[in-house]
Amino acid sequence: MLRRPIIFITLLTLAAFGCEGTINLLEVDPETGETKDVDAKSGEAEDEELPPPFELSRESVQLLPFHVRIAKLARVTGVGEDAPIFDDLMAARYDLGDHNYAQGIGPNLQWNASKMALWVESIRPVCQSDAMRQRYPFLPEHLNEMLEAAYGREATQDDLAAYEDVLADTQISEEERYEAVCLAVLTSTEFVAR
Amino acid sequence: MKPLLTMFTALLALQTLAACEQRGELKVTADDPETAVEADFEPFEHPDVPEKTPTPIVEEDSVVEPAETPDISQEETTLYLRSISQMLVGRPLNTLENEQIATEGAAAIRPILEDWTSSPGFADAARYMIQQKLRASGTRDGIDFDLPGNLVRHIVTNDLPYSTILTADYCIDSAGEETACDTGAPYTAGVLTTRAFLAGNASRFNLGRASRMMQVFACRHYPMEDDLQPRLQKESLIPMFQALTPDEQEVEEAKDAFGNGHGCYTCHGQFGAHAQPFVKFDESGIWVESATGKQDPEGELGRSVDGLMTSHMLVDTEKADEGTQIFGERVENLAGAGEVIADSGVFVPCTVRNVIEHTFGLSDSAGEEIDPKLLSAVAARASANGDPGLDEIVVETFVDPRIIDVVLRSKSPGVE
Repeated sequence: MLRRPIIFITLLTLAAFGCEGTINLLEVDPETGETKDVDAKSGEAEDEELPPPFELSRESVQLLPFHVRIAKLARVTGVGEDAPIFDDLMAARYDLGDHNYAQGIGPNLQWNASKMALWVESIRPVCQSDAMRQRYPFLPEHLNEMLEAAYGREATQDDLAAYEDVLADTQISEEERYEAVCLAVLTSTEFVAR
Repeated sequence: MKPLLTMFTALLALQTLAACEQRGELKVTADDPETAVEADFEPFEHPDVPEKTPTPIVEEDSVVEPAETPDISQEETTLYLRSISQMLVGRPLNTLENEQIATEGAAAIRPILEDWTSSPGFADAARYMIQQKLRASGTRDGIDFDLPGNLVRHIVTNDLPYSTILTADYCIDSAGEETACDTGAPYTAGVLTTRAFLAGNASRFNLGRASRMMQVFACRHYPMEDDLQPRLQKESLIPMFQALTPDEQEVEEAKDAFGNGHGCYTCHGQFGAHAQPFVKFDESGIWVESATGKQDPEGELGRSVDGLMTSHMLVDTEKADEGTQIFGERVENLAGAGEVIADSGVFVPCTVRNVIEHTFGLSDSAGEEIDPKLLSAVAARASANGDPGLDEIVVETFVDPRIIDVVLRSKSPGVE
């Protein structure tokens, strides 16, 4: 009876792999802490480097606007944004970060546990929909196609291996496995956040 | 089973967040106050705040140099465009774009951006941007707060100059069709003459409307540069706003407002000019021809009668006159004010700043820290062929090597 929660825990933990990847673009000098371009050619005179015109914070997770998340779900499923499979999401839209300034509701784009839980519950109809099954008949077998639509990139070996490893030793129904993988992808920060 | 699932879902959420933190990539922070709806609009920028370099003014004869294609790899190009695509077009990169990047590398940035800015997703993004800037969406009390967003979507979809946001002589309904605006005024000034803007920013002395107009379309707070906004003559203002020192302040209710060290006139000599064109719009945004701008003797300081607001001006005929001076130019009403602001050298750089803030989720205070040279350079390039559309502004913003560098640096581990 506890297998399903364990699967969800594990798979959504794997969603951490969906955190937007970083690429070592700069080498850090261990002594000075200064960075240098890995592609910098030696021996060339360096141009005067302008300071960054502004700073971007790497410390906060900010959700995408609600309408963007809906548009992305529509793209993944191949249905219109007014499809019934999004009804639960639309009903919870303001709790999920949408805005209505006339009613005094600003866009709360904080990604926290309660919002995540609500998001998971609200997208279950999406994962259970015929539209999803038509596009991705089996998961994780069609994970690559789903990630291309959801993330705009192909699945990496890490993506595939992670899901395969977790699912290999479990005995859950195909339906449960499908839903778990779908929820993990559509709840990942790479999907819902900037 | 369901409660158990819900509990474990919450637990795994925490675990996921912890995993992200352990990887040193992402942290969840407290609520951003910038996203909260402002219950009481504070129009004053108290002058004891250190002065910041204001958003630049682009001169007409600015030398325009095209943005250079950055020397970055295909991988970096992909990372960069992935970082901005969702806020600009509401989706991740598609297969064709990935292939284009694989083939062309950094040279693909400009054509991809140009393609994005002709897509419906871009129009939606523009709509969202102005909704946030003007705090205008939804409906209330029969007022359509979606009119400003509708207009911007229309401007983008139809490749109109972005300045149309302040000069359009029509509004756009929810179906995307032209319609009369809703104030009843005998003139129109884009979003400025929508009840959404007017009702949403109504405040005493029309300070809220003036402030929002300057903040969103000129990136200015009060006091601003004298040579941008010459002050009204002190003697033309009501006594309260003539004061430059506590000793000069004769109005009892205003005495406690001191503490800024600069005096009322420093700000209100400019505020008064910008607030005056709003004098005939009541607090719900309806235009009232008979508005006098006179203080309601029974009412709160700054309020006239019948939901209207008090003018800054001393003389009765001037109190009721919608005409004023905006950026040194005489205008007859809010429509004229919109024209002047749209045509000024601050409008496009301010729009560049708004675009950057929108795309990267920067607060207004963070936006004030953006290097003015960057804004000036981008604005000049965008304006090279005349009054730019939002597409040109966005393209020139995101082909800028300095912005590309900021994004790539933010994605690099170990960079402070």
